Amino acid sequence: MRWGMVVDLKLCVGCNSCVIACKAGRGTPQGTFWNKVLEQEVGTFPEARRIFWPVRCMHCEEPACLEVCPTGATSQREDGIVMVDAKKCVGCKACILACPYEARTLWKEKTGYFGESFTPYEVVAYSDHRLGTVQKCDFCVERLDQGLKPYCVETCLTGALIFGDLDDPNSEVYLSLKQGRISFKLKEELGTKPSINYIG
Amino acid sequence: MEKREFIIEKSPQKEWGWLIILALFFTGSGAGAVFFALILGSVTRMLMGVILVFVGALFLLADLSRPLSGWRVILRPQSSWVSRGALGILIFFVLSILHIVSLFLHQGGWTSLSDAPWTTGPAWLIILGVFAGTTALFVAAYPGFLLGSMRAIPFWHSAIFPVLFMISGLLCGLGEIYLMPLPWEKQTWGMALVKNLSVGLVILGFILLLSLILTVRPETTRESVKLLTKGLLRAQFIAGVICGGVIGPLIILVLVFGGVVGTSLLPIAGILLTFGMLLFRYSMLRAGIYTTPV
Repeated sequence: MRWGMVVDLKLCVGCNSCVIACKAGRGTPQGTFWNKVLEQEVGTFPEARRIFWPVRCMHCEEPACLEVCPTGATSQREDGIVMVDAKKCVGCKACILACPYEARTLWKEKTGYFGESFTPYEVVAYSDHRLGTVQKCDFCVERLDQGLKPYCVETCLTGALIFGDLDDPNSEVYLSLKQGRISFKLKEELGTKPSINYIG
Repeated sequence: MEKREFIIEKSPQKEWGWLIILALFFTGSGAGAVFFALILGSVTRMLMGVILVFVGALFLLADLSRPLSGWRVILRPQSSWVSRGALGILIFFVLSILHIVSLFLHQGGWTSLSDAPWTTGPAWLIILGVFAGTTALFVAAYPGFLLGSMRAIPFWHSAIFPVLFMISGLLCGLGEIYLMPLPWEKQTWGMALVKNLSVGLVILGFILLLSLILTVRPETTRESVKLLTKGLLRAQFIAGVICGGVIGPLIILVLVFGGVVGTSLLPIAGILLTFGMLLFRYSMLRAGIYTTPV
């Protein structure tokens, strides 16, 4: 079993609802985004257009972050999910520099979105995170273990994010890769073998 | 106009700043100082070198968000260069301190012998010295391997970096010798060897720096080189590292050893070498530009 995702670039409209769903659901600290929708402008007028690239931790088969981590805080589950154990992380930032997808962030300052004091929501949400440690998307692993999909996938308005078991020939994610459209992975030349595929 | 946050653009790394720059400078300088102290058989210089590496290690610890858990960084030497570097520094401390104590007892004081201990001393002292020297070279060179392991920054992915950092550490060590001449070392056999090595090392450093910026490489790397030669870092790199840190000391050393000017200029060469190699670390870290995720 290997959890993975397919991103249909033709369906993504850049609404950022996945970003907000992640922030709300996982309660990530101020300035920390476990997923982002990057904007790219291509072509020139009158053929200029924008492409939206939803990106997050790619849960690579050969994670660059895993090999540089000096403490063992970064690990990989058997289902391919790359995890960070905040209790073991010392904040050396090597993994941030190693990740070609800029998917990792260090929680540096304990400030809220509305000043130094936290809102009641922030008090509860931030208690799940550890100051001075590196954070990243974990495919909402607790939800997966309950049979649910990640917040971002469940929220996507257009169905641009498809999630499932890449090894299961009957899964939606597997079938979407076999429908004949061109699929690719980001920064394949670096040999990280990401679990997130893009179809355009 | 409001800044848009998630635009695809090449951005320089900001994760490793002054604390890491100073850490790499002090560990490299200390390792270089210890290497030359071994050639000179100088207990005083070895001690100075070990103190410098210790200061560097403190800066490394200070850069961690959780320094009290810093001991954890030695746990993954099988894959992590951070771990290998930390372990290398620990082994360096043990071997260097053992060697300092042994040399101190063997020499019966702080002053050097007229011949280096590795030509006259007992076998165990020579072996200890060889191991201490090897770990010193490793401590000087490992930042190059560490930077090379960061796949997101193509500029750092260069086989030249470990050699460059090692030479840079040795140049810092040379700088300290010329900056702080010890009267009893003037006529020793070791000092003659150090003088002969000096010019060669500075020329080698110059060639390596030139090849770093002249080699044709991928686009993101070219951005880094542009930053060093034409961009925001040009003053630090061209004036500080190339001219001040390499060409300036080279001219002084050639003039002094050629007998054209007096040895009173050597401390200036020492200052230039030391400051130039600090700027080298600053420039290399600041020129690290992330490859874009898309």
